[in-house]
Amino acid sequence: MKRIWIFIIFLIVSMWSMPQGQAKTKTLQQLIDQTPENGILQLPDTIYKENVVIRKSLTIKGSKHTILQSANQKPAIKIENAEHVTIENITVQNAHIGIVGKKSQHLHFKHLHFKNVWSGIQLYNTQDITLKHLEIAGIHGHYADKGNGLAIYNSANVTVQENNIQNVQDGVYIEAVNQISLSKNKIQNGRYALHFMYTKNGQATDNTFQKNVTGIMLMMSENAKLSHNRLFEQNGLNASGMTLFQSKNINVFNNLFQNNRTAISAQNLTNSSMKKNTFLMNQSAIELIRSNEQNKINKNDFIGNIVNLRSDGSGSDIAQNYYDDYAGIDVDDNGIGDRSYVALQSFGQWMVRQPAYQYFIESPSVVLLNMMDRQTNAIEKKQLVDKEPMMQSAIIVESKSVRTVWKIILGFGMVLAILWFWRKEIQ
Amino acid sequence: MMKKRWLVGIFAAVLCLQACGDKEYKPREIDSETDICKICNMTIVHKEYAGEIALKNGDYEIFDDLGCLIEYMKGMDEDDLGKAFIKDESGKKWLDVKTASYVYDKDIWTPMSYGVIAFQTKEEAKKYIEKEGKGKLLSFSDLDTFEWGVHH
Repeated sequence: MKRIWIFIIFLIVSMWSMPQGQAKTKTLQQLIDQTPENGILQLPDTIYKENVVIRKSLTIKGSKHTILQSANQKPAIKIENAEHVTIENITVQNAHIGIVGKKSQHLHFKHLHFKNVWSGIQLYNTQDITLKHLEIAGIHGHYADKGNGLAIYNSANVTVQENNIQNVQDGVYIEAVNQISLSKNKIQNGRYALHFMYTKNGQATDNTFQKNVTGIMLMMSENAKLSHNRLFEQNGLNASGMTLFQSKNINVFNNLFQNNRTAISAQNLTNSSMKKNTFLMNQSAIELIRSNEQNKINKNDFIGNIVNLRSDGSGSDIAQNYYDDYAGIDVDDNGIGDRSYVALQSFGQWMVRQPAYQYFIESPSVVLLNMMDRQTNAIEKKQLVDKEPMMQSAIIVESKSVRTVWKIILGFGMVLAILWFWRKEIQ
Repeated sequence: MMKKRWLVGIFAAVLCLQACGDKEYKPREIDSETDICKICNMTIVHKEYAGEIALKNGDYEIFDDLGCLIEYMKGMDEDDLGKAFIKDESGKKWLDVKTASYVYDKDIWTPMSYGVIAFQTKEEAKKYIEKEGKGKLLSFSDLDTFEWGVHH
């Protein structure tokens, strides 16, 4: 009986002491407020359920299981008028928006994990930003009902590197930004992986975009370099690897486009180039609308595409590309075919005007039409004509040279082995 | 026999008169999965800013932003136009583009960042400007000369 009484008393005491313990635990906002300017706040493995505001320079470092959950529809973390803020190693989950930054400079977000968020990070009027090693997974549902993984407005000097973003509307939405570099990011299952609007001096390198509506949507922008990206399986009804719209000085080079509905749709571009790209097994490789001779399409490889080039009748500078369906010969052995390659196909041109025609692309009547086109369009001199088609793909040339080195080494080794056996036999 | 002929005659006349009458054009539902803007190719994910043109031949052209719709209207044959629609500021109601009033401000976000939104009446537009403390009132005819583009 005595033991039961002691147990009950212990329970009551424990219950009394519990709330006091909780009251002593400081909220994240209190911890932030107590951290001095330019100080470092080290957080333990704790779950914080609140929304915090940062208005000073500081560094927040989380631990392995530091989790921040939003208590309402407001951003989990809001940064305003701050000079230097670094946030590392935190998981933000079940929030409408993870982080919002406004009118701030030198913001660095690294190793952050966003789970079940409508939008990951939104930045307005910011400068000198680093977004690195972020994992962003959006909510379930159609992309029309989601926010953007990263959204950056009216900002400058932004680095977006090695992030993994999926199930959001646009992976990275960029509006009126000057100087942005995006590299080694993986973005999939969204509307647009990268969405540039009114952006100057943008650069996207070595990224992988897969199963989005469009890999790179670039609109009304200037001076962009898009290189060494891999764009796979953007193959829905309106899908494309890249859509480049009403922009100038856009250089697209050394990218790999594979299994996309349209690899590049270029509309109303000025002074732009597409060089040394590989177009592999796309429905249409390049679509040119309202183009002009200032736009260059040179030294690309077109392999296994249904339609290589199509246009609305406007011209472009097309030269020295490799086409796997080129049937010409190279008598003078200079690596360039002796007669022009004509990419003009009636059906390809119609598809530009009526995208729904894509569903008839390999129908018997279209195949017959393409065969007739090959005969009749051979005399075409201007539209979609490459006067210097390459006889070999750059990929094949590269792999051949590698093979040749191995052959020499193997041959040399065999000769040495034979000599050694021969000498051994003589002895 | 005579009566039958009269009935057939009246029926034919009614059919002819129906054909001569004004056709009523209605906006159609937008599907974010398949609809893209006729001008800029953007998918229509922000339906609250969308525009539509119902053509006389029964087709529809869809636009993500008022600016794209106006650009298309400038280039089209007026005889093909049935009716043009734009969503109002609330994003719920379709308005006739030609009779709506508009407000522009550089801080108003729209899918193409053109910053122009629509209201059913001039009074509603004025109220919005008064409430927000910013914005410029525009009419449909002003949109023809409006400089479409980001104005940050």
